[in-house]
Amino acid sequence: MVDDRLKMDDEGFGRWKNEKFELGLDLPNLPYLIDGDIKITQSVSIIRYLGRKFGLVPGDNEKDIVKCEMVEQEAVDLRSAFQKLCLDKEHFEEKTPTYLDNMEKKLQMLDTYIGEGAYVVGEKLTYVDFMLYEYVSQIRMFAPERVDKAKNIVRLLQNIRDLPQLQDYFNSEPFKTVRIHPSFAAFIG
Amino acid sequence: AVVSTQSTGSMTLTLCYWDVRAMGEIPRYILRYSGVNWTDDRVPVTKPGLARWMAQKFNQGFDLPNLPYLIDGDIKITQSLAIIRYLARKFGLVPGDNEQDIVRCEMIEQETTDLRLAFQDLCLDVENYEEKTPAYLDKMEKKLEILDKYIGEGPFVLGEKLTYVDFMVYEFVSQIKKFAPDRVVKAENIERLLQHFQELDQLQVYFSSEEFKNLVPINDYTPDSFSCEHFLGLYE
Repeated sequence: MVDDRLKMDDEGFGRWKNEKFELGLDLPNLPYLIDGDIKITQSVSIIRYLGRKFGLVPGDNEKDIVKCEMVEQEAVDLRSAFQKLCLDKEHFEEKTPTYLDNMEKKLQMLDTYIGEGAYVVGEKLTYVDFMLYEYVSQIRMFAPERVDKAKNIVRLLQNIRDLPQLQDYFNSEPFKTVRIHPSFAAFIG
Repeated sequence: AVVSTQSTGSMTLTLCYWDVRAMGEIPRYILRYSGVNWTDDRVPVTKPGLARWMAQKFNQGFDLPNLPYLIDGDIKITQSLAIIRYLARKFGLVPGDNEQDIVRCEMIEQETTDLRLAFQDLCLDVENYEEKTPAYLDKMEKKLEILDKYIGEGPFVLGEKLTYVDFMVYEFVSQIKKFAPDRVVKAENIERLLQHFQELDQLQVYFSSEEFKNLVPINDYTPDSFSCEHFLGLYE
């Protein structure tokens, strides 16, 4: 398994420009995943593929599938809104208060929906828990007091943080040093 | 509620969205295609429409209140992609078990979503619209060319089998085509897919209808509609 990373500097951009159309990707983009003869781009497609590959899927119950997919999309929205704020350096200060209020309201509704379970689909870990963990953790670095009001989500984040399979990673240097955003963002994290 | 002249109405299956195309037209197409009875509930993009929505938004038992929403018996869904994928499973418009087919579908699902979001960003940025249009068009054309090659001979994304992703390609590309037809027609495979889609038997009643001939706007900013900033706020 290769964790290939490009730096967001001239060298990295240069490397990507040279490789982008030479890798046999149908819709060239980052991130990309290569698994044998399967080549995937679009982060949600990659996430769902790995979800299926490693059994991190809701199963056949239609209500579970619907819940997963609603939360998946809500998580994507959360991330998009946060990214939009952080990458708009010009309007960052001015837009932050409204962003925080909207985010808190959305998180509150999501928190109620997630409810008491260990994970989104009750006791079963799925790919959507990873999306929530990462995207909410990012926002939490930016506005911890606002995010901590969402008690169920905070508990879910802790459950992910406690997964035995992830302890090696959480104790590693890459985890301690990786940033959320590139250096040209208004909030790097 | 404005009930579509095509549907005969059913309270157990209702799709509700603003009275524009934007993010709601794809589930409408799937429901038209399916042939089942459904209610096409539309909220006018006006101050009274907004008032109606704000009054009902938190009172209908939705877990994550938003538009569009779908009610199917006791199932209540929001988030347009979750609705589309639910209807796809319900009506068999899914790729099946072949992993390569699933990956292909999902990549195109995401790519067309990106196309729509970029178009939406341009259209809703009323202040910078003129200035941003040329760069948008160049970028869109490049993306469409790459997607066109990937889609290939068709007739649909998965060859002979129609899936929900064809509905997404059809509607989202048709929107952009209305805006910049000369740029879109260069994508010949996609044009062919659009043509095949318009020839689907199950959609002929709809395509011959008055409703289709007087198609509502993609995005709606008439003087009567509430302010752009407020509308954008609803997307937040």
